[in-house]
Amino acid sequence: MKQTFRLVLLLALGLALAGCKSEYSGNVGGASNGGNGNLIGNYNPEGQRQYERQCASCHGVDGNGTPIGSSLVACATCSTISVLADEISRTMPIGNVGSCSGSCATDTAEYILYAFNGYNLDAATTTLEGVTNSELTVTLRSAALMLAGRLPTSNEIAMVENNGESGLSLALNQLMNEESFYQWLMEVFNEQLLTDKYLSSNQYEGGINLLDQEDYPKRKWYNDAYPADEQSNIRSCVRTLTNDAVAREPLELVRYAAQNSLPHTLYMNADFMMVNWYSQQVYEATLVDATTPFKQRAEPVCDADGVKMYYDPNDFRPARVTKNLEYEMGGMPHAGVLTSPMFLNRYPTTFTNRNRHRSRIVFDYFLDTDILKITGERPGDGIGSGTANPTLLDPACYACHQVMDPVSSAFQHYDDRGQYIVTGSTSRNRWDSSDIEPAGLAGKTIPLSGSSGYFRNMLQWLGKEIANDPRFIRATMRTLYTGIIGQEPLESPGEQGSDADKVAYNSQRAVINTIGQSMAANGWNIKTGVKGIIMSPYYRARALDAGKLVANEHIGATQFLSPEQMQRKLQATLGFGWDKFRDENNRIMYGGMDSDSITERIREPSGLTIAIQQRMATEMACRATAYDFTRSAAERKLFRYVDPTTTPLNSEGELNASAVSMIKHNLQHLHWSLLGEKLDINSSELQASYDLYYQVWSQGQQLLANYRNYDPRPSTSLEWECRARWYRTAEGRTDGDLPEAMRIEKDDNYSIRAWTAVITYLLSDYRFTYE
Amino acid sequence: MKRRHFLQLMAATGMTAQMPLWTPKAHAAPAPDQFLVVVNASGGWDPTSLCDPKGLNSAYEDQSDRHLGSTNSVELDPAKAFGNIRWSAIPSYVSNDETVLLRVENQFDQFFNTYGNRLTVINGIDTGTNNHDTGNRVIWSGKEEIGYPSLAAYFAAATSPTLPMAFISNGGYDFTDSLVARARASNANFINELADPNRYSGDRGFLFRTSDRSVDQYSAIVAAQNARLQRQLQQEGLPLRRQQLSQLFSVRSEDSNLGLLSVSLADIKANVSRDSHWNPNRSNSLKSQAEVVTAAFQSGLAAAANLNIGGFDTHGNHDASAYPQLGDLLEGLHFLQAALQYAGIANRTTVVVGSDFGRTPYYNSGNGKDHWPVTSMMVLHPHSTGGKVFGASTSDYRAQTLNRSTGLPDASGDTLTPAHVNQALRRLLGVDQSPLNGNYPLRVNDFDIFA
Repeated sequence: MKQTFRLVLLLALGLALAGCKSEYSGNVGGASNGGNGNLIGNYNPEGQRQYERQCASCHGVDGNGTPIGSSLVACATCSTISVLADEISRTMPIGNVGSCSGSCATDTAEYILYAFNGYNLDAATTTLEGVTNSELTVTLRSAALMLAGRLPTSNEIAMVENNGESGLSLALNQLMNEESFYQWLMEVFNEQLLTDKYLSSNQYEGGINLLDQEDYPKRKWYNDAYPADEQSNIRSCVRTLTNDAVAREPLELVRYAAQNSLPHTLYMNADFMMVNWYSQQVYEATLVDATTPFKQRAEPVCDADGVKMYYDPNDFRPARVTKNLEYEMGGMPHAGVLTSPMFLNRYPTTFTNRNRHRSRIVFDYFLDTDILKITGERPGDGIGSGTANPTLLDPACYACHQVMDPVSSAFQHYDDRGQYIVTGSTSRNRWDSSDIEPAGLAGKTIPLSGSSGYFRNMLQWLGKEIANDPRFIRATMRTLYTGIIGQEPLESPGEQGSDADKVAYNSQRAVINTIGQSMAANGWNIKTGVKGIIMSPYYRARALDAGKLVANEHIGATQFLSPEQMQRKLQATLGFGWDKFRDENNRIMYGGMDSDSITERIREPSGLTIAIQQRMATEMACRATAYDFTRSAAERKLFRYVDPTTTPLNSEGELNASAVSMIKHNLQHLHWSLLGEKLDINSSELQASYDLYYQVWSQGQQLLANYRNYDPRPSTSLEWECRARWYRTAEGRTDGDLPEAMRIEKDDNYSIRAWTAVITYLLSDYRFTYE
Repeated sequence: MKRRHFLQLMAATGMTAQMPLWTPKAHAAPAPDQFLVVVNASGGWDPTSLCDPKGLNSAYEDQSDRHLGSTNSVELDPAKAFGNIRWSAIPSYVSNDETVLLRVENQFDQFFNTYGNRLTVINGIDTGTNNHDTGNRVIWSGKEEIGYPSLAAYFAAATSPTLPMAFISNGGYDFTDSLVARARASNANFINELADPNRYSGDRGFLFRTSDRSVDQYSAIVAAQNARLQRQLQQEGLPLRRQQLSQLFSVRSEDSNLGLLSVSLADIKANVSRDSHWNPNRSNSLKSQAEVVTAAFQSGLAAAANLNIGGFDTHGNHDASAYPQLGDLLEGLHFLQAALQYAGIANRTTVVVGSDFGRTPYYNSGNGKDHWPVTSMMVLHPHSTGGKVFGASTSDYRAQTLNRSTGLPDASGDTLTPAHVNQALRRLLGVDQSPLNGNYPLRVNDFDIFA
C-alpha cells in the first residue's frame, strides 16, 4: 500500500513537473530515466548479503559513503530498481566490474533502495524540518540580484506577494530569461572550467594563440583586415572581440542550451561548437543554420579609425569545422566541451601523461568522481613495484588506471595543444595502445571498426555516454549548488560520522538529487536546477532550530560577495559600479580570481578586504548621493521620498514632522533596496539610521554657521569628487558632463552630506557586503 | 573594540558556545616577533637540477636514451659546494646564448655561496605522490588528506591570528581551515589608497574633518557601524550568518594600520633596488611579492606569507626551462633576503622553499622530465649555521630509509616524508606546542633535521 501511494505520488509529481514552466512544485521527485512501476522494493536478504560482501567496504554499511565511495542515500541512480541494477551491472564494483550482474545486481539494487532510499523520494525540496525560510519577497530580491544583477520590479514583487511560491517561480522564470542571467551562468561554470584564463583581460590573444596556425590560417584575420598603423584602434577593438569569442566558446555552449530550452547535455554531446561573427572569421566554420545572418546592433560595437562594426558579440551560433585541417581532411568531429581547444589547452597532456590529466578532470567535473580517491592507498614510494608496465600489470596501479585510462585513450586524437590529428602507424600522432586500456567508459569499450565505428570520433561516443550517465546529473548539480550557495555540497561523513552529520548529509543529498532528477526529467533544462536550488531551504533559510538540526553550519546561502558580484550589486542599487574594480589586481585583492594562477575565491574577509570595502563605501556614497538627486523622484534609485531641501528642522529651528516622516520613509526604502531588510517605520534599526543622519546634518548646520572657526573651512560646496557633474558608465568611470541645469555642486542645507554619511554606513554593512 | 571586549560581548549574549569557527581556534597573541615565508616552486621542481645533483650517472639506460639514461645532462662539479651542500652545474643545453648560461650559473653560485651558511637542504623526501594537488597539499601541510592548514596558515594562527593580514597568500597551497584570514596583497598602489577610507584631496575627507580631527564626521559612521554589528550579532538566527558576523566583527575590531604598510613599502622600494639584486628585469613577480610581504611584516600587519613562482612543470625541454627558472627562484630569494635585511627583520624570518614533488631521474623522449615523488626542501633560518644537508636520496634518485638523528642512510631508519619535515619545522618555529598541534597532529617519529 505504501509503495502504491509512493507511485501515485511520484506520478502526480511528474505531472506537476511537466507544468513546471508555469508553476513550481517542490515535490518533483520524478525519475530521470522514467519509471517502470517498480520503485521501492521489499527487504531483499540476498541483496543485503551481496551489498555487505561487495559494496559496503566503499559505500559504508549504512550506505552513507566513505572517502572512497559515494553515498547511496538518494544517489543519482537510486530511482528505480531497473535503473540502479543497470548501473551496478555496468560499473560496479569499481575494482571488479562485471562481478555483480543479473540477479546479483537486481537483488542489490532492491536492497539499496529499501534500506537507504525508502524515505526520500517523496521528500519535498522547499522545506526542511527545523528551518524557517525567509519571506518570499526577500528570496526574490536576493535571487534577482544574483541571477539578473538587478532589483526586482514592483510587478515581480506583487506577483510574489499575490501568488506565493508559484509567483516566485514565475518571477524566477522571468529573471532567467535576461542576458545578465546567462552571463552569471557562464561565470558559475567558469569557476570550475577556468577557461576565462584566455580572455583578453588576462592574456594578449590568449585564446587565439592556442589555435594552430595551419589549421586556422585566418585566426588573426583582423591583422589582414586592418593592417595599417592608422587602423590600430579598430584592429585592437576587433582583436579583443575575436579573442574573447574564441576563449568563451565552451561556456557559450552552456548559454546556448539554457537560452533555447535545449538540454544542458549539449555541454557534453553537441556535435557543433559555438561561434559569433568574429570567431567565425577565425574558424571559417560551417554554420548549422546558414540561412539566418548574425545579428547586428543598432549602435556600433567598435567605432574607431573610421570603421564601425555592428555585429553583436553576444550572438553565438552553432557551427562545425568541416574544412580541411592541416592533418585531417573534412574538419573535426565536435563533442561539446570535450573537443573545445580551450578545454583541451586548459587541461593539457604530455607525451608521457597520455591524457590522464584530461581524464581526471572529466571524471571530476562531469562525473562527480574523484579518481584519486578510488583506490585509497598508493604504492608506498609512489613509484610502484618496478613492473615493466605497472598501469596495466601492477594491481596497485591498475585499480585506478582501469577506470581512468579508457577515458584517457578516448582523447588520443587530440595532441598536447588540442590539435586534432588522428592516430595511426603513419600518423604524426603515434599512440601505443599496447600499454593502456582501450577507449571507453565505465566498463564499456568504444566500438571502433565498421561503418558504425567511432574510431575517428571517440569523444563523440564519450560525450554521449557522459550525457546519459546519472553521475552527470550529480556533477551538474554540484556545479550549480556551489555557484549559488557559495559552498560545496557536504562531503559524506562516512561510517564514523556522527548521527547529526549523517542527517545533515542525507537531507542535503536528498534535496539536491531530487532537484537534479527533476532537471533531467524536464528536458535537462538547467534553469530547473537553478530554480530548484533557489527554492530550497539551503538558499532560503532565515533561522533554524538547533535542537532539530544539530549539524547546521551549511544551511543558508549568505556569502561574502566576489568583486564581480559586488560590482553588479552596486550597479543595481546605485546605478553604476566602482571604477577600482576594473583593475584585475584590485579584484584579486578583494578575493577574486583570474582563472589562471588564482583559481579560488576568498570567501572570508581579512583586514585588507575590509579596508577595500570601507574605501568602496566612502567613494561610492560620495559619487552616488548628489548624482541620484539629479534624476526625477520616480527615477531615483536611492532618494524617492526626499529632496535636498527636505530637512528635519525648518528655518526657524522647529521640528518638521512631515519632513522627518519622509526622511524615515526614505531610510526604510534604503534598508530594503540596499540591504534587503524590511523595517517597520518605528523600528530601532531605522531610528539608528535616522540618528546618524540627524547627527551629521545637525553638525553640518553648526559647521556652516561657524565656518570661520574650522580648518579647513567648511563650505556649502560639495567636495569635487562628490559633485553631480558627470554621467557615469556602468563601470563607474565618468562619461561626459551633465547638462549644467542638471548639475548639483552645492549643498546649502547640508542634507546631501548627511545622506552621504548614511549611504556610507549602509554600503559597508554586513548585509550589503554579504548577500 | 579589541578582541577582549568582543569576547566579553559574545559571552554576555550567550553566543560563545555557538561560535563554531573563528574565535575558538584563534589564540590571541602579541605582535609577531618572528615571521615565516613559504616559497612555492609551482609545478614540481627538479631537485637534481638544484640541490641534490646526480650528474651523468647512467642509472636509467633502460628507460631513456637521453644522456645515456642519466639523471642530469651535466657532470657533477666538485667546485659547486658549500659545507656539505652540493649544487648542480649548468648544462650547456640550457641555451646557446653564453650570457644566459653565465647568468644562471651566477644565480646558482651566488645564492649558495651567500646563504649557504644559513641554509639547511633536506634531501630524499618521499612525497608518496606524483599528483600536483596532492603533492602541493602534502608538502605544505604534512598531510595527503584534505583538511590540514598550510604551514604558513598554521604558523600565523598559532602566533598572531588576529592580525589584519596575518597570512598573506600569493598562491600555492594556502588552505587555512578558517584559522586565519587569507589576504592577497598584490597591488601596492591600491594599498596606499586604502590606508584611510575617508582620505580625499590631501588630508581632506569625502566627509568633513578638521585637520586636527576635533571634528570628524567619518568617526560617527564608524561608531554607528560598530553598534549595528553588535546588534546584528545578538539578533541573528542562522549559525552560518552568526559565524560570518563574528568574523567581520573580529576583523573590524583590529586596527588595520595599512598606512604603516604603505610607508614601509615606499621605503623598501626606494632603497632595495630590484635591478641591482642581481639582474635587471629578472624574477619581477617574486620580487614584487617579496616587497609587499616584507613591508607587511615590518609594519606588524602579517606574520606569515606564501610566495609563488610557476614554470617548473617541465615535461618538455627540461634543461632550457628548468635551470633559468630555478635561477630566477634563487634570485627572488636573494631579493627577499635583501628586503628583509633592509627592513631589519631578516634575523627574525624563516624562509622555507619547496615544490609539489620532484621530477624523473631521466629524460623523456621530448627531453623533458615527468613527475617523480622524491623531492627536496630548503630552509633559510636565521640561527642555522654551516651549510647543512639532512637526508639523502639514492644514487639513482629514490627515497631510502634514514637515521632519524643523523639523516644518513640507515636500513633500520625511517623514510623521510613531508609529515616529518612539517613536524620538524613546527618545532623549529616554536609552534609545535601550540594548542593547534592537538587539532592538526602529524603523529610521526621525530627527525632531528634542525638539531
